[in-house]
Amino acid sequence: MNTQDQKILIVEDDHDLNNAYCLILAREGYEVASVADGKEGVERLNDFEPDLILLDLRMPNLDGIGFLKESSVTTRYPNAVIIVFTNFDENDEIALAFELGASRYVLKSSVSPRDLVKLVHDELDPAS
Amino acid sequence: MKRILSRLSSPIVAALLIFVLGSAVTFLSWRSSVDQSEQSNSTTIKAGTLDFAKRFEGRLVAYSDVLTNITVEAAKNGMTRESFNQSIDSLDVKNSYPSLDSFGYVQIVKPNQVSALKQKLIAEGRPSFDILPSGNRDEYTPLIYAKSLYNPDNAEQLVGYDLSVDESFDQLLEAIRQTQEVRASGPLSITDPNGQIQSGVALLAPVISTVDGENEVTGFMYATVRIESLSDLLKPNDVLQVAISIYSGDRPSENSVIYGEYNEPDSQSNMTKQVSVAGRTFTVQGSSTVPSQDKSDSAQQWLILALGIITSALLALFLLYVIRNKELEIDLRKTIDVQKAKENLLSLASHQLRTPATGVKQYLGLVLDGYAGTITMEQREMLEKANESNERQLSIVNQILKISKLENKRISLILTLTDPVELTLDVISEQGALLENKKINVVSPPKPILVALDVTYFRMVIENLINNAAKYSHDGAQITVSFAVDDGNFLMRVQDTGIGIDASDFDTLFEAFTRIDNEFSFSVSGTGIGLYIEKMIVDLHEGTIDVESEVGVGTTFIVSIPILSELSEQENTQ
Repeated sequence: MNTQDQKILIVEDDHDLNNAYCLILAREGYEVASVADGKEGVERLNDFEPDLILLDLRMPNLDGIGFLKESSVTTRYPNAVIIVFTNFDENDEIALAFELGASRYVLKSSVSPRDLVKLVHDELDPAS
Repeated sequence: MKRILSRLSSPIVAALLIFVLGSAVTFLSWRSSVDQSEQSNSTTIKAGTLDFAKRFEGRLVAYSDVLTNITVEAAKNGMTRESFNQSIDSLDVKNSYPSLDSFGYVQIVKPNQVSALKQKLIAEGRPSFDILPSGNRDEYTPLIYAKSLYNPDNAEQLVGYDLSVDESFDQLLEAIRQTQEVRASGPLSITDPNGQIQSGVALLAPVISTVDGENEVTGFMYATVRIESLSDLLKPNDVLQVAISIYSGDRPSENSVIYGEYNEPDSQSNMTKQVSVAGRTFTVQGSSTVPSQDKSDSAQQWLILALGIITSALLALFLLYVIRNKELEIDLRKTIDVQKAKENLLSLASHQLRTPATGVKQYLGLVLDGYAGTITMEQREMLEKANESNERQLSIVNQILKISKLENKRISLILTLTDPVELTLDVISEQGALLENKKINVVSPPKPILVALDVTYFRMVIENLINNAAKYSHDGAQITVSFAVDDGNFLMRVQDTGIGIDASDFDTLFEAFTRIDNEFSFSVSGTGIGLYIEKMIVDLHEGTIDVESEVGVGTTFIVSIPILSELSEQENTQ
């Protein structure tokens, strides 16, 4: 599938990381939208239908778990791939995210730009 | 003071206090109950006794008054058979004085008056009257008239009998003549209306006439009182639980009982009250009808006391149990709270330590990957070194956090049946540059082995063993990984031909933040916690890790994991 047809929503409160991920994924041709917290993420879903969401957990206003609960993203966009993308490794929280619709957990600090591209590519176009 | 208060707040002390207090309260209550019971008993006895004595005295006084009235009439008008009978009949004795049995009139007769008396009595229809016993005496005191309401024949038979012949009666009559007052006799035997013999007394009242201007006793009027009948009439009802005994005289004795049972005087169980009527003293004794405390009662009381003490002990033990449980609950909650706080801190620390390094990693990566344009070789080298340092930092952070989780037992292994050979090959494939210039050989077991392993954590063990083998070996060194099953254990050996470890370092090899001094200490990076983490992971798998080594020859690490899963055994034996 053409990356240009694929949309990625980045929900990340760290401004620099957010910018880095946008830069990396946009360069690959994905249509990227980014928000700084879960609350903005919920609102953004009204006009942005993502194919993949990179979701941080610890954020102000509304955290990752709150976003999953309030956005009903799995109901609205059942095909969207949700990757918990965080530096937290609390099993309970991650398990809850999976219950709420996340399909993968990745420790942010283990992912280089190339790793990120490969990760997104593998999730959105696993056949290739 | 603080120590005293601290000791007092100890659960054991509290329980002991409860036990002592409970026992003391039990004892005091028991004692009070016994005392109260005794006191209540005493009060009841006292009330019943005094009440009876008062009424007994009152009745005897009333009887005395009745006789006195008759004697007054007799003195005024003289006593005839007719007046005697009328006096008695007018009393309506059976209804008004049911304990009075018989009446009699005794006259003092001088020898020279005997003939006139006989004439009088003959005229009254008693032709055979004679004074008995016969004989000459200075004076006679014969029974002239007699009437028994219940034994008329007996009364008739006594007519003519001279009472003064009986010494006790003679003394009594003399006393009456002296005092000119009603007197009571000593105990008599009286046949009651049912034909039963019971104790009684006779009340004798003087007939006082004026002779030659002087008051002189000229006769006596008597009435016999059935003491038993009177006492039955007056005794307290059963509700009061007081039994009455009456004694003739001023103290209870076995020989002087005229009513009831003899009871040994005892201030706890009975009381006495003297009643003096008509010159005679009677002792009224009231006793409790509640059975006195015998051995069985005493035993029962001790049993109740013992039960009270046992109950206090049980209560104290229960309190101790509750307090200890509460303390344990509080301790547990504190431990959980502390643990929770540590976990939260750990969680926060992990996030806060990783996040800046993540940013460095991304931007170094962006530059290295050309996002900022082409970079020179020199720039690349420098940036890669920066990247390596950052990776090392992240690695250290990750390892420290792992140790923390392992030490706090926050790790729960997720065991799956795993082919350790496949896992090892996978790990080796990821090592890349580290294994360059080393010869790595994986020796598969004769048959495939499946072991219940937590893949994520056991991977770390394999990684660390292989990394150490590679790091502490010269170029061209041989690293052999072999597998076996022995006596229910899965064995993995990682053998190298590296620099070896001195036996003196074996003890500290698996300690945290410990690095052995050797030729590679400065050139090879490390935190000294790899083997420490490995050991913890192997321990979690309920396994062991051992080392064999010789300096200059090489080192072999042997990991042994019990094959715990039945499925593992089934698979391995197929």
